[in-house]
Amino acid sequence: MNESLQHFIDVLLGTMLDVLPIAAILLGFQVFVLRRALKNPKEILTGFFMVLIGLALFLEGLDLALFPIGELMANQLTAPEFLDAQDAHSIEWHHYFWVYLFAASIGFSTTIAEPSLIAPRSIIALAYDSGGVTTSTVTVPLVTALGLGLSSNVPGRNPLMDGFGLIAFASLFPIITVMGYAQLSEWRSRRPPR
Amino acid sequence: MQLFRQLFASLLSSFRDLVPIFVVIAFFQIAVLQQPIPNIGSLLFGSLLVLLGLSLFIEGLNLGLFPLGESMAWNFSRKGSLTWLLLFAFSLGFGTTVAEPALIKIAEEAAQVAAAGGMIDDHAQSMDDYAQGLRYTVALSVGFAIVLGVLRIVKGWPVQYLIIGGYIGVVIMTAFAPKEIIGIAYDSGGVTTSTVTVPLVTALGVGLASSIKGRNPMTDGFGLIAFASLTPMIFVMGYGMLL
Repeated sequence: MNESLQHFIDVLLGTMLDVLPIAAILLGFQVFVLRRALKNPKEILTGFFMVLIGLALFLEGLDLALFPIGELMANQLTAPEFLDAQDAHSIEWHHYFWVYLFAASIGFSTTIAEPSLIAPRSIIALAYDSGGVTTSTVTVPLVTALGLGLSSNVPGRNPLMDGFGLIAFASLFPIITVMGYAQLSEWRSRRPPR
Repeated sequence: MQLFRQLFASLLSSFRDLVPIFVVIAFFQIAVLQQPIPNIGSLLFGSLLVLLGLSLFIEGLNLGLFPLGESMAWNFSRKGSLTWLLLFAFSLGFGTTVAEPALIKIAEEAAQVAAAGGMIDDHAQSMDDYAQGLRYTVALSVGFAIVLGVLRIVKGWPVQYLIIGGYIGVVIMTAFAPKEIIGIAYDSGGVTTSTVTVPLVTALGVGLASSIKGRNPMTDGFGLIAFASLTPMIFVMGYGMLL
């Protein structure tokens, strides 16, 4: 217990260094450039402490839960016993059927869970933005753990070369689908009502 | 008291958002894999920490940093000084990226993988240096991206040509960058644009577009995040080439 408390304090100190720059920037610009007093310093200070503690808790939780779950699922879904294959060399791409299904469902459900997701509207710039928005705090650790776990288990793959890249797809595809969605809704609104 | 009620509401909504993920994982464990989950206690405890941490983090941002950042984005976009605006844009992009939770974790993970793959030395110091270097490279590139995006809004350049040009840059860099960095570089684009960066940067874009005559917040206000997920790819590949 003592050890994990010590670890938490280390993480807390680390997050302080992470959050300080943005706080310093906002305060510095507010006071020295805009020359305005803070409207509600008490709330800002409370908010700042909540951000610190929340970030530290979140990072601890990621180490304890999201990363291990992603790796565990990748391990179990690619185990030769589960794939029903005689040995590692006779596995073909279609043996990984459940991996694809798991990837699809986890991608879908983590994006629903996104705190910063903006509802799609028919604007190009917004479509480009939504690619960046879908891949945030909850999606990234899970998907990364999945990619790293898969690339260390699938024969002939190397985590360094193949483990990363899933997030890139997750930011590319929404650009295409949101623009497609805009096209579709425009086409549907132009079609004469029956 | 008000604060606690808000925190509780946020906790509830975080929980509701995380439920689909739990359902998917539970379904696969029980129905497909049919294997017991090791360390279920620590997994549940960790999930609880994630839930609590995320709620506190987001509520804290809503209470302090977001209103401050948003009002400043508005003030700067109305102040009329392009130099200060660009300086503010850069600092905002840089500062929010350094505080981005997902990036902190991914940089650590990338350092571990790089150490295991023999790309860097396998001790704590060099792994720390690598992770920090990666984060500051990404932060620098996001600062640059927001400056570019603000210039675009001020000048009224169409977003798609800049994006297409940027992706051509990504393709060219990919040809020269070491293979090991490419995946990480591509991913870092998506990782940066997250909980802290998105609301503040969007506020800057929309505030700017609505205070400049002839700009429409809907067509000109968005697009900053798109730059912020593009430039890290180019910069991180550059970082990999320097290393």
